[in-house]
Amino acid sequence: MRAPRHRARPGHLVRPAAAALLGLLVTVGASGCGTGDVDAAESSTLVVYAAASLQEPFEELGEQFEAAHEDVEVEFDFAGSSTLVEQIQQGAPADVFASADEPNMDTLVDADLQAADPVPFATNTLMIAVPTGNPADVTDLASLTHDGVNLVVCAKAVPCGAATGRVEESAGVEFAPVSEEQSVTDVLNKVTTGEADAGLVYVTDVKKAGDEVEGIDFPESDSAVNTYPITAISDSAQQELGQEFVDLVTSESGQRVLDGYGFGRP
Amino acid sequence: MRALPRWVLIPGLLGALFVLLPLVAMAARVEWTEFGRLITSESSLAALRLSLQTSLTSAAVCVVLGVPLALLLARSSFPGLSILRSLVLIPLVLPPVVGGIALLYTFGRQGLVGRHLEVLGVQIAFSTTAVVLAQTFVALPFLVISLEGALRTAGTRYEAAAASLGARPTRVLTHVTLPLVLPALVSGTVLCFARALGEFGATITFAGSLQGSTRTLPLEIYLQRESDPQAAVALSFLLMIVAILIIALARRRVPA
Amino acid sequence: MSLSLQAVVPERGIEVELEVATGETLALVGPNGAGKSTILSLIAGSLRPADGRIVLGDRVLTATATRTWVPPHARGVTTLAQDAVLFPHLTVLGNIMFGLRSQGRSRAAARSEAMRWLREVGLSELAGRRPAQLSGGQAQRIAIARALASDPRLLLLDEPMAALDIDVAPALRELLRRFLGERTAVVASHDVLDAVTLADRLAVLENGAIVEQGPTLDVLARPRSPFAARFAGLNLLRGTWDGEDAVLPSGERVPATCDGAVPEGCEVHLAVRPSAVSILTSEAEGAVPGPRLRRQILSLEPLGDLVRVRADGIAADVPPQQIAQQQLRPGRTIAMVVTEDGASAYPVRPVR
Repeated sequence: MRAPRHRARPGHLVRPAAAALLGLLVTVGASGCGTGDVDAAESSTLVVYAAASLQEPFEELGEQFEAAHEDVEVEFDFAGSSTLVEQIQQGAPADVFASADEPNMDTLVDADLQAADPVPFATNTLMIAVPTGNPADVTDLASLTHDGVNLVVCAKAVPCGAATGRVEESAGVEFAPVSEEQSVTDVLNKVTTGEADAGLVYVTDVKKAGDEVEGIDFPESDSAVNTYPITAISDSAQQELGQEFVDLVTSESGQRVLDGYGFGRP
Repeated sequence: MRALPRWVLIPGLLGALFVLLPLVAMAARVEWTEFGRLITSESSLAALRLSLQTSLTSAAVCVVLGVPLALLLARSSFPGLSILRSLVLIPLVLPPVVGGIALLYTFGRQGLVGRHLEVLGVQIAFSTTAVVLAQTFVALPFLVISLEGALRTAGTRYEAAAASLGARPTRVLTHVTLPLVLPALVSGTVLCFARALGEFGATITFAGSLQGSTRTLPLEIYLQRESDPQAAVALSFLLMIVAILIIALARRRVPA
Repeated sequence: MSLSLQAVVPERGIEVELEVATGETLALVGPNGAGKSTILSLIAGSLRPADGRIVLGDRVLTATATRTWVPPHARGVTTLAQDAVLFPHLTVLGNIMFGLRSQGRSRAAARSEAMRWLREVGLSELAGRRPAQLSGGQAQRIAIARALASDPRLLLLDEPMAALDIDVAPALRELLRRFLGERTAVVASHDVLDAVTLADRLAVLENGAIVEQGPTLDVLARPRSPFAARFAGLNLLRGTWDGEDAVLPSGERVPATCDGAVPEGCEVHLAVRPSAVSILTSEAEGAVPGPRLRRQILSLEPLGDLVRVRADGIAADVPPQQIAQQQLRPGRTIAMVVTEDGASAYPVRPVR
């Protein structure tokens, strides 16, 4: 059993201590009068661990959540899903976890850290990204295998690389990438800097990169739809609040926010 | 030794513990029954081989470029020398990722130099050459700094004596200057090799990551963490052993 | 191989001209900071003059007018420094072979030549040693062998004995005397023994300029500069020659010998041996003939088995017993008498 956590921030340090003292007084004063909600006056912080690709829509959703919940502050930690799972397993103070893929969520479920069954809330598919102007004249998946096309993909060990593998399989092509990057961000960087002629990244990444890259759709992308699951964490002291955030994400308004950043609906 | 105040012992031991404890903790996490299999997998061996090969090459490049540079810094005088001396040490303090970005803008396909190489049909990005460049970039200051110091300490008396005996500048360099600073040259080169072996940030930013051509041991470890943390721990331990061997070698060759 | 040098180095206050004849050894003497080392650096080529010309034999080494500059290694000028500066990573034999190999001699030829020089300096048994295993005297001997083995056209010696113990210096000085015989060399030193044993000629350097030069014995016998007089251990006074005595500006007279024709009324230098000056206290004065110089004692300095009694412009060397007997001490007024053959007068400018 962990103690209730408070993010230590300058200026906020005094508040938890004062609240604890106040809570003690109230408890003493209210003894024999039934259970009082001693935390009612305290503002709480909801900590959301989310896959890096979710940064923009989740920050927008966080503001919505704060607007709807007075006294609640939402803090995010955006990183690779596997890193986040590892940190949660090591006792990191997360209330909600949103994964970029199912295997990482499975790891969390295997450790029995989910407060409720994970819910899929978004999908993402691969897209070919090329530098503006498309110098290598890439048109479809097959053209990625042409000689002289510097293709960069994700390494098989990371989710976007696994998805790339499934696309290769269903399209019946075999890529000879010049590099297998650690993350989709690294792939995108190689494309925006012009080092690579093409890269396989998520639709949302192309959208985020704006004018720096061009996206090329391909039909085989359907074979590797990546599903994003979300859940509240069982270790959390504020499971209910966490569940409310999960509900917001899966609600119609939450889905509309995700649509705006290129995510598909599950 | 007797003159040391006793209280020094406590922070001193704490310092040693601070360095050693994480190594012990890592060793404790290694699954020894699986260790052999984990470090002899195809990808691990490829990474180890590539790491040794590129680090040796980088150390050699460091010697070829670093020795003349150290000589210039220690033995010549020209306007801007002190600025140059500070600038060549920048890779020491720069985050390696920043070094990688800088190399990308230099030797990348659209980089300052890479643009022209591309025209000549030479592509450095995503090649083993890029790995060597990244490693050399971060390692070079180690050689320059240790050699320049040794050259200054050695002074110019022997060189003047050699010239006075009729030795041409090249002969003075090869038969007097370099033999005199040989210990520093050896330890500097070993340091370069060690730094190259551990190089990660500049490599992943600039060279990419592909088994057999650019994925060195540190990159392999970082990637394995995603899928097989046990393999990552085993490889980390292997890298640590190699590092310890190198340091021991350098210490033995160069008595304090 | 004659050397002729004319150089100006303003930042070190040097403005000199000097000549060394073929086979001659010139001793460059002067107080610390007078510029001895600077002149050696100019000749060796480790320093460029602002203006000047240095010629060795028929070869111009430095000439600012024509922008001629021969680098140090190509000058045929070898310097033997105060420290041996043996290469620590080479053996004794390797050190001696270094110059020979640098000049393109084969390994075998260099080795046998180096061995010959090692025998010359009497240290054949040390061939395989490292410099760190040698004594100071041995190291300097090896340095001499190394310098001579390279057969320089000109040898420069910069205080070659200064770093050595007193008991090894004489043997080494003797060794150098033997080797310098027919060589052209310049020795910078502040040791009068170096000058007397090694040098044919002496040049006195003060404040960056040569104040006098000439054959060693001449300069030592008839110094014309305060430094040369001190170097030679003589009192140097100035006066006018009246045909019998030298008359000091104060009117005091000093009997002196004067060979050659010095016209009456001429200005002369007067060199007085301190040991030829006796000191009288008032009680004994009547007994001794000759003019007296009345002076106050400034200081007493031990000097071997004598004591040097310094007074204004003149010093006397007397046995310690006399100090006690006559109760000589600083501040006391004494009378000094110069014996006639203890002082020599000569023209202020050398007669050509």
